[in-house]
Amino acid sequence: MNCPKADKLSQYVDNLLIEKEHAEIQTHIKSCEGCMRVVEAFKEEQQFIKETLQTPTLPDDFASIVLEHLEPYEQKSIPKRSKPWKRILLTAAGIVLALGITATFSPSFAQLIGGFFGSEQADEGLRIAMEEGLVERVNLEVTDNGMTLKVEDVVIDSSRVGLSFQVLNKDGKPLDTKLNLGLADSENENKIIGFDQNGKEINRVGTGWWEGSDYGFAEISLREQEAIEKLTVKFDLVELNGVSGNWQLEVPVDLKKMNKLTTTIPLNDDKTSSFGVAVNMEQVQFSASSTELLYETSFTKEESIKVNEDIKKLKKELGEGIINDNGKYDTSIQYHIENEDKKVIYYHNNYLADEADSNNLGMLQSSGKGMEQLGQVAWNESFVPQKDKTKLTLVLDGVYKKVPTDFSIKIKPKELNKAPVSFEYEGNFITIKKTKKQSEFSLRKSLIPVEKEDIFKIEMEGSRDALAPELGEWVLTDDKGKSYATLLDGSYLYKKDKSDGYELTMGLKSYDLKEVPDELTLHLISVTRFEEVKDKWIVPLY
Amino acid sequence: MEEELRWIKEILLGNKQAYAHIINKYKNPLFGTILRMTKNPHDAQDLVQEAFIKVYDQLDKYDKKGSFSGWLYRVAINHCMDEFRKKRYKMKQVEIDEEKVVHVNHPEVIYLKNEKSRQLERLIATLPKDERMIILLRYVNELSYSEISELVEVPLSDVRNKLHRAKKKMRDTVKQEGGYFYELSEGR
Repeated sequence: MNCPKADKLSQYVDNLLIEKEHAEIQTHIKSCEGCMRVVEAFKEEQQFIKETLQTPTLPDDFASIVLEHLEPYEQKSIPKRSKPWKRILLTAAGIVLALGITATFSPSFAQLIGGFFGSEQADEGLRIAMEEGLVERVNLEVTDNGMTLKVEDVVIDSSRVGLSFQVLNKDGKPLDTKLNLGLADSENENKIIGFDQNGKEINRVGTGWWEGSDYGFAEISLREQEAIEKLTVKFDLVELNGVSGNWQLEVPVDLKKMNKLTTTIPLNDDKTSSFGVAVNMEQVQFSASSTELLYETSFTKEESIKVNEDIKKLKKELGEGIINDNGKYDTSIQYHIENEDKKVIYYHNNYLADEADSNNLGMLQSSGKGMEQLGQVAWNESFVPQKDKTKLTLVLDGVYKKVPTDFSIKIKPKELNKAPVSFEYEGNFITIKKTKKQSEFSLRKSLIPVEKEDIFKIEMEGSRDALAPELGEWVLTDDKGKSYATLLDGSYLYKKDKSDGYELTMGLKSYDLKEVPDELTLHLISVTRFEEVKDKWIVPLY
Repeated sequence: MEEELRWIKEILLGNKQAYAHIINKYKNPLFGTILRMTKNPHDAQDLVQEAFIKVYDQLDKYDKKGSFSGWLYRVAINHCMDEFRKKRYKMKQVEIDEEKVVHVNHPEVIYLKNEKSRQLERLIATLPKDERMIILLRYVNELSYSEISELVEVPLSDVRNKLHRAKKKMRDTVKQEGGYFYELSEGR
C-alpha cells in the first residue's frame, strides 16, 4: 500500500472512513513509521482541541443556583396499601374508572398460581374471583418495533372483565406498563375497547398501573350493559413505553357461565331527600368478584332552583364562559352497609376520615356519571364481595352538595409578602401567603420549538373545622374586572389536627393572568357542604 | 449510564437534589459549547441555566432509548440555540473581535493564557456556525456522529463532511499564519 494522504489519515483519526479503508490504514501504519507519526500528531491535535475547548468552567455553586428554580417532581407511584379514596366525578365526555386498591392480603391459591392476579396489586374482588376459578390464562401477544404487548390472564365476572398484561422488550424483559389511554373516539392514541356479541362498543375502561411492577391491569366494566354473552376486548395501541408502533390484539371472553352466578336485586327507585339532596336507589348486584350498587343523587327541586339562581348571578358577575356548570356543582352521599348482626362491612365517603382512617371501607371502585340535569349524578359503586351469605342493609349517613357561593376577597399581590391576608369562611380559617410568577416549559412534538408559559400562583394555608364546608374552585378578577379561571395547584392537603379539625395547604394557578395587577379579587365559586342525616334512612339490599 | 438512570429515578420520585449530580456532570461541556456559539460568557451562563431547568422539566419524557447524554444535549442545546436565535442575542457570523473571545473577561472563565489555545479559540470562532457546532458537539460534548446528526438535523454524511472540512480549514489557516497547527501539517 502506498502511503495515504494526510487528509485520509486525519479522517482515519476521526473515524470518518468506511470500515474497509479504516482497516487498511490500521494495517499500514503498523509498518510505516512516517504515517504512524502523522496519526500520532493528529491524535495529539484532537486531544488538544478537546482539552482546550472543555476548559472554561462554571462556578461550583452553579447546580445550587439551578436547583433553586426547580420544584420537586410529585410522587407518582400508587401506594399499594390503603389510601383515602378520592371520589371522581365523571362528565359526559369521557368515562374512566377509578380503581380502588385494597389493603388486606392473605396468602391464597391465587398466590400459588402467580402472575398479576396472584399479586398484591390485584384487588381483593379479583382475587376472590380467581379463587372461584374465574380466571383464564390466555397468553396472547403482539409484537411491533421490538416491543411486545402480552395479555396473560383474564378474570371474568358479570360486572367486569379484568386483564393482566405485560410490556416486554425484545429480550423479553418486562418494562413499565403505563398505557396513557386516549379517549375512545380519538385517533393516534392508545385505546382499549370492548365489543359485545353484536359488535356494540363498550368503552368503560379503567387501567391500573404500579411503578416498578411487571404487570399492568385493564378492566372493562360491564355495568349498565344488558345480557352480554360474549365480549371481545380490543387493544389498539400506537405507543408502548415511548416507542411508536402498532399493537392490535383481540381477547375473546365468554360470559355465559358467569352470568349464571350473578344475582340482581332491583331496589325499585326507593327514594329519600335531605338537605336539598335527593337519593334514588336503583339496584344491587351480587357476583363472584364484587357487590355492586347503582343509585342516583340530585338536587331537590327547591335546591335546584336556588343553585341555578346563584349560578346565574355568578355568570353575570364573572362571565358566562368561566362558570362552566358542567361538573362543578354536584351531589353525593355518605352511607354504610351492615350485615344482619349490625356489623358495618362497607362504608363510603366518610367526611371526617383522614389519612389513617380509610374513608371507603371495602370499596373496590366508585364512579359517577354526570347526568343531564345540573347536579344529577348516576353512581356506580362496587365492594369486595362477602363470602358468607348474609342479608345486607344500606344506611344513609349524610349527604353532600357542591354549590355556588358569593364569597370573595381582595388581595394586593405585591404586598402579600409583607402583609399576608387572612379570612374566615364558615369555619375555614385561611391565610393567603404569597403569589408568584413561574415559568413552565412546554415542548411541542418537534425538538426545536419551545414554548415558555408563565404561570401565576397563589399559596394559601390554614385550617378547617370538622364539619365546615370544603372550599372548591376559585376565579380571579383583576382591577379592570377581567376574569381568569384557576386550577388547583397540587391539591388541597388536609391533615387532621388535635381539635378534630383539619390543617390545610392549597395553591391556585392561572395560565391566563399575564400581568400581575396591583389588586386582585379571589372569588370562591363552589363549596362542598356536608350534612349528617339524623333520621337514618334504611334500604334492605335483599 | 446506569448511575444516571438511578439519579433520574430519584428525581422523578421527588428528590430534586439528585439533579445536582446531573448538572455537575454536564454543566461544563454544555457551557463550553454554548459559550463558543454565543461568544458571550454572561449569555452563555444564563442560557445554560435555563437549559438545565428545561431538561429537568422534560426529564419524565426521557424514554431511555438513546444515551442520556445525547438526549440531554439535544434538549439543552436546541433550547439554547433557539432562544439565542429568537431574541436576545445577536450572533456574529465570521468577523471576530479577538479581544472578546480570548479575554473572556468573566470571573468564572479561566483565562486562556496558552498561546496555542488562544489561536485555537480564534480558529473555532471564525468557523461558520454549522461547522463550529459540529466540532463542539464532537470534541466538547463527545457525542457520536449519529447523535450529532440527530441534534443538528443534518444527514449523517454531511456531519462527517463538515467535521472534516472544518478541521482542514483550521489547519489551512494556520499554515498561512504560522503557528501550532503548522507544525502538524508540515511535510505533507
